[in-house]
Amino acid sequence: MPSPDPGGSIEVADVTKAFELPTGRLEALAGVSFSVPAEEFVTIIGPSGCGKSTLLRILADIYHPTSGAVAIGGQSPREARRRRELGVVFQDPTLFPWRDVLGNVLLPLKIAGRLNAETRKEARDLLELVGLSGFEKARPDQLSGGMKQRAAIARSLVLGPKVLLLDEPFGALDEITRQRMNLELLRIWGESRTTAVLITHSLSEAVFLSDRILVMSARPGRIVEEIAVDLPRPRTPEMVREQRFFDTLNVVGKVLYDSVGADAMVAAEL
Amino acid sequence: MLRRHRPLLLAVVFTAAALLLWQYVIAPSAEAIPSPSEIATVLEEDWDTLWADTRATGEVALLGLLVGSGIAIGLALVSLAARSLESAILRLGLALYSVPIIVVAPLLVLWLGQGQKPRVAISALAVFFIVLVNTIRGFRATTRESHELLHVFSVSRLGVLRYLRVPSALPYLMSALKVAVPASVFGAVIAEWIGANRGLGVVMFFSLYQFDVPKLWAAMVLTTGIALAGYAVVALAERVVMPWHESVQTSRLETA
Repeated sequence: MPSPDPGGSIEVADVTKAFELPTGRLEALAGVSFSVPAEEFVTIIGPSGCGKSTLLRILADIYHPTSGAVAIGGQSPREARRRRELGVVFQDPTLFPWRDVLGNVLLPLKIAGRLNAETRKEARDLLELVGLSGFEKARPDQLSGGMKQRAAIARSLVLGPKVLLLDEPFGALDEITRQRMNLELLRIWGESRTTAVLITHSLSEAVFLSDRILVMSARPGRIVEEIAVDLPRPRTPEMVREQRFFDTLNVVGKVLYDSVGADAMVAAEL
Repeated sequence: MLRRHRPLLLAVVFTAAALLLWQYVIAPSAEAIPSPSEIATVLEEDWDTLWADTRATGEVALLGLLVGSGIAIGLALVSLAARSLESAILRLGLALYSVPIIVVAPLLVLWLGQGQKPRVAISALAVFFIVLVNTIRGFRATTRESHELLHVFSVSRLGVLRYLRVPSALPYLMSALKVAVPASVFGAVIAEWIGANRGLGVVMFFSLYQFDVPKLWAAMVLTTGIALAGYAVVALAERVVMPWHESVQTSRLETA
C-alpha cells in the first residue's frame, strides 16, 4: 500500500530529448509522459535504440530533458539526487576494482559523509540481503557476473533510496543466472520498499517483475501503451508457467509488434 | 617448493651461465671487454671512491625522478582541470622531450650554475614526458558509467579525482615510473659527463679517456645497479599501492 507521504512517486510530463551530434540532431525521446506511484515496480520495454536508457538517465539527473518536466516525489531529479533518494544499477556493474566488495558498497556512504558504525552495519546487512555475506573482503574481479551485480544492487540501496533505477541490470547474464537474479531482485525490492523503474529487452522479465509495463516505440521514443500485470505478489517461479502469465506476455508482445513492426522486431532481436 | 621458486632458480642459473661464458669465452677473445673478475677487482680496490660516485649519481637520479614526476603529475592535474590545455601541455612536453639532452645540458649549466641543480634538471627532463603522457592517459582511463555513478552519488569534483581518477591512473603511473627510473639514471649520468666533480658519469668520462676499460665497466655495472634498485623499489611500491591490479596478480592462476 502506498504510504501517505510517497516520496518515491515519479511524474514525467511530455519529456523530449535531442542530442546535438557531429552528424546532426538526434531525436531520442519525443513527448514521453507517464506517472509511477510510490513503491510500484514499473518496467520500460522497447526496441534497441528507442531511448529507454536516455529516459532512465533523465530520471537519474545524468541528462537533462530538452523540454518537458520530471518530478520525483514532487521535486526535480536534481533535488532528489542531492537528497540521495536515487539508486542506480547499470548493465555494467561498475564496481571499482581498487575497492573490495564492502568498500564498493560503503562508497556512497563515504561520499555522503554518512559513514559510521551504524551505517557500516547496515551495509553488511545489505550484503547479506543480496546473498554476498562472506564476500566482504573479496575483490570485484574475483566475483562472477551475477555476484558483481548483486554487489551493485547492494551499493544502490545503501543510502536508502526512494527510487531504484535499473538499466538492464541482468542484460549481460546467462538465462539461468538471470532468472535467479529476477527472483532475488523481487525479494530485495520487497524488503526495501522503493519505487523501481527497470529497463529491459526481455518480455518475460518485464511481465514477471512488474506491476505495470510501459511499452516504448522505436526512436524517437514515446510510450505507446501501458499494460497492467495482473499477477499476485509475491511472485513465484511457478507463475511463469501459468496461463495468465502467457496471456500478459502475448499482450505485451502484440503491442510491441504493432508499434514497432515485424522488421524492427527482428532487428532488435525481441 | 621447487615449483614456486623455479623462476628465481632459472634466473640464477642463467646469470651464472652468462658470467661463465663471459669470463672464459668472450673476455679472453676481445680486447675491449674485461672479464667479470677484472671488473670485480676494480670494484673491490676502488670501492670507497666508486661508492661515493654511486651515491652522487643515485642522489641526482632520485631528485630528478621526484622533480620530473612531480612537475608531470602537476601538469596532468592542470590538464584535467582545464581540458582545453591538455593538447598544449602535451605538445610542450613533446617539444621539451625532443630536444637532445646533450644540447640542453650545457645550457642548463649556464642557467642554473655549477652544482647539483643543472644535473637534477637534466635528469628530470629525461623523466618528465614519460610520466606526463602516462598520467594524463591514466586520468582519462575511466568509463562513462563510473562517472555517471559518482554523479548520482552527488560527488564533488575533488571526489571524482580521489575516488576515480587517481586510482585509475595508478597502474599507468607505476608503469611510467618503471621506465622513468632508468631514464632518470641515464639523465644523471649524461649530466655528470658534461660537468661534475663526482658521479659515475665522471668516472666513465675519465676512465674512457685514460682507456681504463675495467673501471669503465665497473661504473657501468654500478649505473645498472642503481637503475635496478630503483626499479625494484617501484615494483615493491606497486604491490603496496595497488594490490588489486592484475599486473600484481599475474601469478594467481598458477598458484590457484
